[in-house]
Amino acid sequence: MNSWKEAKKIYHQIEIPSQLTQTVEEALSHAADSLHNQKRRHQWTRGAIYALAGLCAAFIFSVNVNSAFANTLYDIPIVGNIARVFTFREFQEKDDFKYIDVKMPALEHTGKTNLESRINYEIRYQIDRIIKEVEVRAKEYYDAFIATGGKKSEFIPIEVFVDYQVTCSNADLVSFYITKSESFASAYTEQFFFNVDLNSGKDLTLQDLLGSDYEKTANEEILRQMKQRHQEDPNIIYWGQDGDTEKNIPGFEGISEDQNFYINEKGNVVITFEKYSIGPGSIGIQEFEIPTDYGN
Amino acid sequence: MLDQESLEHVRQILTEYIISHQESFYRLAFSYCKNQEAALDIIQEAILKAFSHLSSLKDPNLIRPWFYRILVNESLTYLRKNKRLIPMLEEEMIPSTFNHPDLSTSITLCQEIDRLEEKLKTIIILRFFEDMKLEEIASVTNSNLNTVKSRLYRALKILKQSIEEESG
Repeated sequence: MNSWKEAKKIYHQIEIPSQLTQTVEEALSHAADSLHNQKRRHQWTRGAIYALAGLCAAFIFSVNVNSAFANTLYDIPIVGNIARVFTFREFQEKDDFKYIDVKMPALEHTGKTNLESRINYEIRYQIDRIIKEVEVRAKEYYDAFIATGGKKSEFIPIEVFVDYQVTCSNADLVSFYITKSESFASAYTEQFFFNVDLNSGKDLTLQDLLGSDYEKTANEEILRQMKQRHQEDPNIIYWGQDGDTEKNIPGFEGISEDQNFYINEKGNVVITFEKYSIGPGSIGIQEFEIPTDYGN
Repeated sequence: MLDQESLEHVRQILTEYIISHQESFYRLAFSYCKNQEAALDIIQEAILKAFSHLSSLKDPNLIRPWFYRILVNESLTYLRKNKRLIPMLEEEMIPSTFNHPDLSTSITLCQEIDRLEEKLKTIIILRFFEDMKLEEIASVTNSNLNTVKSRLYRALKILKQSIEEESG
């Protein structure tokens, strides 16, 4: 749209009143004057914040250590010596700001202690990080709600769900992902993917699975499927591809170095893109199955 | 926490930044409230807030998104407090010297931008009129990149639709 250029001109023609400079100067000098008083006030606030932070830390610590906090501690009888991903712990936490529901997986029976502790540590680390992040954001959100005249009783706490899905599990590899979703903010959905080679104990890369040409292979296949999906359903559009009339939003530009993917039950690589990352929200999370002949 | 010396340094940077960008601040504030007095008040409030929250500016390189975030918040707070005043002042964004027929689409575009809900309007103004990167906008609006992309998409769609309706 060429009218954008003109619109920008019009915007920049908004008349600047002569009082602006004076207003800004007054504000600046006022800010300088009040600095002294403000310092004292800040010190008090900071003390309160530290106390609060201490409480939060104690809370998170107890969630992770005290098993009484955890509603369910799974104890499943051993079924053969097959490596598997199982629900290690489930817990819910609720306060005025938030409701968190977590199903935490763990990997076991791989015969490799290092591998298990690496993966299980990573899982725990990510879930802890999610909880802390929600904690902070929920509080900020609550404060902003109250500060703008909201009533305490009308505040709807942020709801967060953490769950996992095992997509492939056999003698050679295990693939699963953790999903964090939120009740009314789908943009905060996050997924973490784990693809483990049980023989080497290492993470599987796209290069391991698709060969040295993996980038080309994946990109071509993704573009082909995008085209196909758009042809089959014109409502499915990808930014920067056929049917995108905006051409203003950066879309798919090839798989990234830390591309998200999992392995499905057929052993095929499935490349996934977060909602909004390659197209409008209406198309949701997009997945592309790439034929894979790894291990055959 | 910043020590005394670097705090003083950041104060200096902020002061200079505000003085040299005051006109952009004014345009942004004005495009929300459509009223000169109010826009000046918003800027004054934003400056005071900025100095009293100086310690939340972790990296002086991020001063632009940081200050715009305060400015946008102040503008929205003003709007919430003064909801009923706005309709009377609606046409003021367009200077009368621009009532030229060739510019009609652009003027329509400006008017349609004005009618967008605030969240979407913020993104359009920052992206197209202030030339901010999507990453910066995400930080101004305290949301993530994908949220910004989705709002940008929604806004462009609405604008396109309403302009088509207008001209067709």
